[in-house]
Amino acid sequence: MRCFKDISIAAGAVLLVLSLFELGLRATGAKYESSFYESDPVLYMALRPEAEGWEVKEGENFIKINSLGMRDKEHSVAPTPGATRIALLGDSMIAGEQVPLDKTMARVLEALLQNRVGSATHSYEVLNFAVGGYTLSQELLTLQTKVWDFHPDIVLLFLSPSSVPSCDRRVYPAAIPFFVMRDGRLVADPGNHPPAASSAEARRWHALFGNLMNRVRLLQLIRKATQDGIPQEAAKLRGTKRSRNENILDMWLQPPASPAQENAWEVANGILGLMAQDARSHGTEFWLSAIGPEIEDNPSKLDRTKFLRAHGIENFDYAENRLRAIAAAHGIKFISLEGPLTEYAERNHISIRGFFNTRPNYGHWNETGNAAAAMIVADSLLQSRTEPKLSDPSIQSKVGHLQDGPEYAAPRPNTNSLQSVNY
Amino acid sequence: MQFLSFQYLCFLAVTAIGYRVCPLRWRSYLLLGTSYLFYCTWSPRMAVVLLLATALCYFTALRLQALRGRSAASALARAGVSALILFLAFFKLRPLLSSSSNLLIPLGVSYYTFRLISYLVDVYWGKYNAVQEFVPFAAYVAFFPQLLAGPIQRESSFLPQLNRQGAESRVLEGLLRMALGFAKKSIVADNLGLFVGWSYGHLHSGSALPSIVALYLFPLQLYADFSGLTDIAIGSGLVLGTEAPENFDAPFSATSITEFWRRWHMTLTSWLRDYVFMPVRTLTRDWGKIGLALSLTVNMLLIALWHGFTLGFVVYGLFQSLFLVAEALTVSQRSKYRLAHPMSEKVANLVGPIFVYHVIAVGSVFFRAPSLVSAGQLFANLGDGLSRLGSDLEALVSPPNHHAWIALPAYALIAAVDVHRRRNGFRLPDLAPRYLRWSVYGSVTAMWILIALTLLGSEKGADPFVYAMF
Repeated sequence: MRCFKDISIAAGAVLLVLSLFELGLRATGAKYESSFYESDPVLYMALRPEAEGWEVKEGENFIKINSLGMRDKEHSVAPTPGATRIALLGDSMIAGEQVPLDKTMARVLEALLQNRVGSATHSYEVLNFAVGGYTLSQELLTLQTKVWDFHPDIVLLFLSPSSVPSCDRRVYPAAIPFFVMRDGRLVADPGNHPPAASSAEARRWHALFGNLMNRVRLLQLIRKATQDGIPQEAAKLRGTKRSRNENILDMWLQPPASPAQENAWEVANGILGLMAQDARSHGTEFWLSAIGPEIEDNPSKLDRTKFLRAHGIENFDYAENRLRAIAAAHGIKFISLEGPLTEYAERNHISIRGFFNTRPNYGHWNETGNAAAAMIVADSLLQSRTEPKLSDPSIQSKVGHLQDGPEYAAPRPNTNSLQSVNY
Repeated sequence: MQFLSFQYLCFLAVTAIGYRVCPLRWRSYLLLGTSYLFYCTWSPRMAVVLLLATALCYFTALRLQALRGRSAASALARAGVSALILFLAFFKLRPLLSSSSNLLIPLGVSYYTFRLISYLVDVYWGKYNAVQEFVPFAAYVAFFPQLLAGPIQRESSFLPQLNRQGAESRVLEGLLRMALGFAKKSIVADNLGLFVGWSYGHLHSGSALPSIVALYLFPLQLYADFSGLTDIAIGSGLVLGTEAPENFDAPFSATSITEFWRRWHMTLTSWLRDYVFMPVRTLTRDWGKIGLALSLTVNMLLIALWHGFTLGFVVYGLFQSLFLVAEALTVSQRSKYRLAHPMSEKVANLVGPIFVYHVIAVGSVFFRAPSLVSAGQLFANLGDGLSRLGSDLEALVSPPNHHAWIALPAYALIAAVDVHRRRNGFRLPDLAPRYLRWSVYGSVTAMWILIALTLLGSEKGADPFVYAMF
């Protein structure tokens, strides 16, 4: 009995230490990556509805996933009468987990279009289906399984440097769904293995634990230490570095160097063709755009030139040109994003990527980058409708909060962003 | 290998377990091996330099003992000490003489050279006999917890501990002391460092706020950083079963600059007192007050220049010595005044620490500022006023500094824990009831698991210790 009492007191003391540590972590501002994902039998992974927590790798931002599993505000599934619905598909660049929701490309784009066409009878609604880590095959499956329920008028797909490599298992070995070409037709790769824990029961438990973890710093710390820290220490002991998939950058900059890489392009072509066909059958416009690697929109021309010279290439255009050709072949409208973004960054001497806790121009778009991209996309959409461009002086008064002088398309650099990227 | 790393915790744990199971006679071999392993993780080449310096001193001391009483001993002692001073000066001056930015300076070169010098001098003076066995001596010189930044322990207090049983009782104390050091460094020093770094980056903003922040917070940052490092060193030693001298004794509670330097980096100041101040004072004893002033100034200048051969450190040393000399020359007058005015003692105790903090803060500007021009800029900016206080404060606490404010309440809490430690220690009473022992053991184990997880989960790791570079 006395032993039990002693053990209880000792356990209480340990619990007190754990509680104090939790308080200490909160007080010192220690934050760790939260859990936003769940297993999905089709997409392999999807955003967990209502999940909320911190993104801290780049910037520091509290995220809430909406009830439909989107990194977006709440939307009704049924279309709003008189509204033009635009569905965005993409990966983390478009999900914009690094910036507050109202600063994401999707929200800024909606605000810009709303300002342009703002009327009581016609509005624009942008739905963000982008998910961090998604590949082209997952974007196709998202289109097929989720997007059409919302009856969008326009679907905008944003590809990033990993989109094409991820179309071949050999080039991009990851636990994602793959497609292969069989007799000129796109079919699911027989080697696909959907995640085991994707049953409804397993997902419920996962959500329960994930939500608990997002509220307890200690659990986040344990996950961080075990998932990142221990493998890093083990790699240090072995004297190895974490491997990077060199295929991603190589395939963006240069023609395929292997049959596997060429196959990835063929599958990407097949997926884009299928998406375009799918969109046509739904009476929806399908647009494509491409986001390059961070060096491409580096504000320093010298850095860009050095990079090109080091890689023995003349420009960054290989992937974009090839995607543009694919888009033309399938009747997909193409938005050229990187050229104007680079021009914007260089002209304003501002990094459109990077946060206070990263090096400048690293990783994802910051608030400035999201705003600049939204402006370019909005302009392209409006241009295709033979409506005046946002750069038209008559419109600038309506989008005044984002304009940058009389010239085209330069979102006013946000003071906070400036500080963060220049840090 | 950094102190604030998961590898160090594993390394220390394995060494401590090895130390416990190792027979007494092999302990010095174990410490020597692990200390050199620790050193080799940084630079195997510089480990050879350390070994050569150690071997040279070991044989010189044996020879000195054999020659004791003869004139040759004096020449040998002078040669040995001069060689060590030149050795230290070579590595300290090397960055100034070379344009290369990749110069390797032996880790802890100051600290092990000081240990070797005092050892040679003590053997020459006949205070102690030369150590007969090489391995324990080499283990003392290279003892890894103290290698980075001290404390500077004399061999006479270290070596007997290697053959002492019952060191196990200090493990708990050592772990708590290390935890205190971790907290000082990672919560207080690194966060204050963010504010101070921001301030030095905004000296041209035309506002007094950056100057005020840099002036007042840097002494706290430096203290938390250095005393944190010392706590980890002393705690690591205790975990291994060896006790080290204290390096700090609440320096900011000092009521005079003289007292401050008795409480700050105590092992270095006592080392310099014994091996620099006293000999110089003996040489200048016939010069009266001028001799005293000269001795104090030389001593203080050496402390300053030990940090680095820059004009900033010269000014830092001269500034401190100005107050030390003034205090030394007015001791009797102040005593008489206090006797005549008993209230003045109370006022001095109250106002003294505030005065001392300001003097130290002003002096520290020359320590921290990258150049004398920057230091001048900082003082000039104090006259700029605080007309933009709101926006300046907003900028000061914007990311990545947005959580750094925690350093101030944390400092108060940690200072209170430190006061408790100095008064009562971290030792568990021998006759503590079982539930208390279990609670303490359970809590400390949980705490260290959490600290290890924090180190594993840290993206960027801790900033380097300021004093690890000296």
